[in-house]
Amino acid sequence: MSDDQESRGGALLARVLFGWEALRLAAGQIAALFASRQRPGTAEEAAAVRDAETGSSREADRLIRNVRHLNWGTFLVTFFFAVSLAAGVSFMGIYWVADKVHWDAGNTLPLGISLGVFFGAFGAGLILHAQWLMRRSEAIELRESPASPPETREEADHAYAAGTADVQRRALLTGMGTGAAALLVAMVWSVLRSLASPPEPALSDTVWTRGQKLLRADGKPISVDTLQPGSTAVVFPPGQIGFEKAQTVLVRVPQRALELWPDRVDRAAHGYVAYSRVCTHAGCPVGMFEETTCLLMCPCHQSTFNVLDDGQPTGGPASRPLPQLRLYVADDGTLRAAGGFSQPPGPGYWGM
Amino acid sequence: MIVRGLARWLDRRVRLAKFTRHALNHIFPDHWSFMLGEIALYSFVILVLTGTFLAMFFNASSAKEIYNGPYLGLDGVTMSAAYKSVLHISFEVPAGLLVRQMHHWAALIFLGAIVAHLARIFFTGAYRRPREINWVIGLTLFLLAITNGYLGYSIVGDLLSGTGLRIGYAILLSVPVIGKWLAYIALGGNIPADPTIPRLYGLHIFVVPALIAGLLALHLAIIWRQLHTNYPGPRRTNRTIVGSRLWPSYTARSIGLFLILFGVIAGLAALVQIDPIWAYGPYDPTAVLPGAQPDWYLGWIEGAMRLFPGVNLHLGPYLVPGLFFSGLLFPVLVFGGLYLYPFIEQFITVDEQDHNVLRMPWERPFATALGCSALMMMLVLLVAAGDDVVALALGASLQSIRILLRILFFAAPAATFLVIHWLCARRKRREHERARADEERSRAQVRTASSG
Repeated sequence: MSDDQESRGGALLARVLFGWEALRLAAGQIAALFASRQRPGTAEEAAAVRDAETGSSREADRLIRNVRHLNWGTFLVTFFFAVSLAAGVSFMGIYWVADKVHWDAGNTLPLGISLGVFFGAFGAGLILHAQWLMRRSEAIELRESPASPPETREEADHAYAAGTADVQRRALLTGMGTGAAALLVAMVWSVLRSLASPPEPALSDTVWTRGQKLLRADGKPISVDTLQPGSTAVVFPPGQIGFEKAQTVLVRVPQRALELWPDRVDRAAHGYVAYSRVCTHAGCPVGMFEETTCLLMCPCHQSTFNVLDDGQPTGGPASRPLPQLRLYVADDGTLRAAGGFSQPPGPGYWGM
Repeated sequence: MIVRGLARWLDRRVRLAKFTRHALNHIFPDHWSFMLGEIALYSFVILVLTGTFLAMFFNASSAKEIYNGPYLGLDGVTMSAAYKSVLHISFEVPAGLLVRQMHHWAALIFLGAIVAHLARIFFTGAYRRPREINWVIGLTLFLLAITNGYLGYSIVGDLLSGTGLRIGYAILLSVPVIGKWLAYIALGGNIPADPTIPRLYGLHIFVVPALIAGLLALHLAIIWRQLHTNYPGPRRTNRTIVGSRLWPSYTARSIGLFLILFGVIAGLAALVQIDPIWAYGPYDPTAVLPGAQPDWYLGWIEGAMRLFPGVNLHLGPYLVPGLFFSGLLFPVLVFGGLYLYPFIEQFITVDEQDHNVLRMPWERPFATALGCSALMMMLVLLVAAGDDVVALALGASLQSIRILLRILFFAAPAATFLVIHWLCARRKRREHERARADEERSRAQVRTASSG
């Protein structure tokens, strides 16, 4: 494509973008699509076709191709830009009308579609413009070496050495600087302490104390006959209902299991056993109970713990047993904690 | 005219013409795979734009409040102020849900583009000297992007987000010696603690994005100075750069790509629901959420945590929980390997050359096979991250699926390595044979020409 046609294309496009010309051009192109051979779109094309018919010169063919290319490109680009602008207008319309009438999350769909078409069609138009209406040629250049030329490097070295040589008491400066830097690191290290209270004793706290009632989330205490065998409840110590670390799962072991494991469940008061409900693997609540196998399961990484075997892990990535809460039955028939958990509840850590 | 006038005005003051001329003539190679990094860059721009809008409404506070907004499903429920403000964004702010979904989609695409870009750089050997610095910066950007994605969905305060935060806390806690302090300093105490959300919010909207922006600028400045690599082809040598000039075609195409990406993200946000936080409810440390998975780019760590056997390491009176190995040491080793790879390769192959022409993947059977087997390992872990869902769908027991995945964790990468190595080596051999045959033929032609 020659420079002449290029600039003509640019001028044409300027008109397309800024005037009503756009519609006329688009309409003309659509019409030309159906009848381009018989009714050439422009005077040049007509002349070229005449030339071609009479002389069939190569120059005329090229001219036709160029003009058609330009027209096609203009049509495509105009179409996409027009779609984009229409989508932008519809975005505004949806936004303002919806906001005036009633904003609803359901407006997300039309709003998002019109926003997407606005950007997407404009982007497509831009890329088509680059493909059809901009000159593209492969450029080639020599690369420079990534390293500086040796002379420049030496000049820099010299500048540094000359400056350094002028400094007196260099060792003093270096020593003081190093000392201050080390101190600064220590100071920053200290200030980190402001970001958190000391982890201990909060981390190793076993939450329960002897004699505390087992309260459900609604605050009601648990008595010996509250749970049916084979069912579970989430319980908390008084004053800590809903607290993450305090959550405890209370299981009333099914009758069948009591017969199967007499030596184990002797330790259980009336078939009740209780464990920390915080998984020892990554801290999710161990919220599922499988009655037939008497396994507690954590839904996050599917670790399982055997209720009949002191909460030992039986599968999945957990490696420590669930901390156990020993129970006893008070004179009034309520279940009480016999002490704290057998270990700090929650995922493991270095000092555990 | 306006542009020229402004350019003159600026040039009178800060001498820009020379730079402008260089910039407009800067050559970019034309290959689709060079767009992957661009997509990552533009996703980041979209993240900043949408994130700024969301920050106008988000309330980074753990304070307990009662919800009484238009979403009746949670009417009267006590929740964190943060979660309440995200419900407000989703149901009451005009275009709020759209922008929120765009933000989340853009994050997923950001990470996807980074991974694809990383793979392209690896498989074509673009990390080789002199571009090792950009390899290191790029990996750091990848880490920062993962971190910020995690921080982003952790501050929302829904049940899924709180569960993820709980697991992150457990991973920090598991670090030997300093774990307790690390977890407390990062999250402000035994979570859910009051300082957690404000602290993570500050990191999410300022510290990490600032680091990403700074390193991104450096990443681009370095490649601008070094120039891109070229795929092998005619006239492409170590001393030349071949491609399109920045102005005007490349500029138009690149901005076009940005706009199309923006359009695709807006379209996804409109059509495909993502992270419906209202359905999960507020974070309650005692509530159970089965079938929970993190965003896809953390799936490999989640998978590692699930597949790792239940073992502890006891060092005298001290404990190193198994979670430390799967949740922290494994990702550190993966990234450590990635960071060091160019330097190890350079050391082993005694390679001190600058490389400006890329190699096709089949030209380097070992590196390609290694990269593919690493990707296969990640794929197995990604499946493992949803192994409960897989077991349910296949009607198999979770235990058997997990054993199968443990075997696959070792077997699939090994098999991938062998197969890919064989395929690449075969292709390489055939290309050599073809080249030799071509040479033979041209020599024969020369002979007949000279004898005749």
